[in-house]
Amino acid sequence: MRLHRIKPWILLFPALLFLLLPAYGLWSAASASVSSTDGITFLHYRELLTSERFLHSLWFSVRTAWTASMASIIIGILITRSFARYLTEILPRLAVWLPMLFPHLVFGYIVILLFSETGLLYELLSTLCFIGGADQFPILTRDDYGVGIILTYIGKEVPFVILMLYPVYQALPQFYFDVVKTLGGGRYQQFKTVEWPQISTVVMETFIILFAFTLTAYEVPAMLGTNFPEMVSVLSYDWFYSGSFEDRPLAFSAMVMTSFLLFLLSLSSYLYVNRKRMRALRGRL
Amino acid sequence: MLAGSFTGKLPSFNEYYDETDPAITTDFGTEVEGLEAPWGQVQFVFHYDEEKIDTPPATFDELKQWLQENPQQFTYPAADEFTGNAFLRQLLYAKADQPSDIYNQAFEEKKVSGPANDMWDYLNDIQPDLWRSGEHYPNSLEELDQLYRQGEVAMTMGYNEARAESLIEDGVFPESTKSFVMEPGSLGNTHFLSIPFNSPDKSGALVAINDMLSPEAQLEKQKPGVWGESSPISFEKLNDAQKEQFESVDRGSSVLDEEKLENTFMPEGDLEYVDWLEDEWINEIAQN
Repeated sequence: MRLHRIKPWILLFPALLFLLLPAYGLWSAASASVSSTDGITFLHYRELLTSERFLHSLWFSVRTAWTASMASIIIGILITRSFARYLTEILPRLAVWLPMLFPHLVFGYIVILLFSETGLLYELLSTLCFIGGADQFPILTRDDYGVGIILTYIGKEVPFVILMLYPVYQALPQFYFDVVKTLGGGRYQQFKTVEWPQISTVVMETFIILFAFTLTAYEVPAMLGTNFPEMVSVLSYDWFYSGSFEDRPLAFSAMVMTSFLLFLLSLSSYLYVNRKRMRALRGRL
Repeated sequence: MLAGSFTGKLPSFNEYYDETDPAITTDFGTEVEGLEAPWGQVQFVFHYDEEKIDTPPATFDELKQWLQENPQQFTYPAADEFTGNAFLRQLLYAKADQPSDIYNQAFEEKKVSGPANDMWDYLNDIQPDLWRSGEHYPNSLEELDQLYRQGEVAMTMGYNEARAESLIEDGVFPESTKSFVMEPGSLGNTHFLSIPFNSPDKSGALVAINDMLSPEAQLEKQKPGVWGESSPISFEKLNDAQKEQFESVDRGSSVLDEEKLENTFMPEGDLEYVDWLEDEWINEIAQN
């Protein structure tokens, strides 16, 4: 049947149509990043790779995004596996997913109100006399280590992790755990042999989504970051909107490089997951 | 793109504006040459809380001294921020022999290296005494305003001499907020009216601009309920009745009086200073 052969393409068509926009964006960014008055040049990339400001920024971004995504995943797994049973009820489920209602910007502001040097946490601690002056309170927002950014993302992304993992946990048959228990396995064995094989692909996917988002999102680091080092997104924004046009190709190159990095990450994890899937098909899990 | 030099033809302009004033003859470092007529003006001022500071510093050196006595009580926004950049430009003016050395010349890195080095030295000197010991500078003016509102710092600033009024009214700033300017003056920016080359009715435009420049229109524009914006008009050229009218406009207690603002006005220099300061500040200050 010919229809049978083209049907997947018809089904894929709307998604491809939608992808036109980002693909066009990526293409024009890439072409702007190599263009100069005398044809194609890689000068901007060279300038980036020798710019201390950019390299610091890239390292800071990767570190912050990695920490935030990793922490969200770990906390998300812990919450889901501990509370999966309760999440069938409406109230606990609402409570867990409440932070998803706020935009990132609002959540970032909440973090400032809670954790800044004169924030609610400081007020609480100083009223309870745990600390004396404001100088004893650690700097948690707009700090050099991205603590404020990481806190915001953890608050926002943990519910997302739960959303992704909850269906998997719900589908896990109880008797799997019973098997482990009869064979004398503890909690760690339960996690390793029953849960992890089931959730690992979802965890990896979720990690990539979170990592790609936190690495390049603008508003949270713009609000909660410091002047140096700054996240790649903030630096690119500055370059793009700075008064001189000379900086603009740098903004494009920086973003193209970040996209390339994310592409490599997605590709390698896709290949890894695929290999695992093939092995599972052949019965060698 | 503009129709041509026309300000000399306007009776209001000839009568009430000071044609030699650099605030009017240049627009961000570019000679106006009669192509644009001055319409309004904003000026950079610092704000302080009267209850915390009796007499605000009058020079950058006094500010430094004040900071040593009151560490952590002051900071300025980062240089990629509009207000923070204007703060640096003012400091650069202060470090030059004459502010006009900066604003009358096209940007040339070699020529400003002297004042610029003094400026970076100054900024590095005050850094340890700044809020959070200069480890972080506010990313936006709003962030600085917030610190001021929470009492973490005792001063804030802004490129609009009257902006504290609405913030006091909204309860953001304490009512004891006042403004001040420091030596050698306060950075100001004039915005202009002009006529495009393809205007279908150039003589009509001339009449309209002449009317908008008149003392009556400028007076109306200065009233807080109307716009509340400062006028580029030359105060000395007004007659006594007009002077009185301008003086009687109550712009609010946080706004400096008209004469003080006019006497301290320093025009903007070449636009290239903005980007240059932004880049250099990252190298000299933020990365250290």
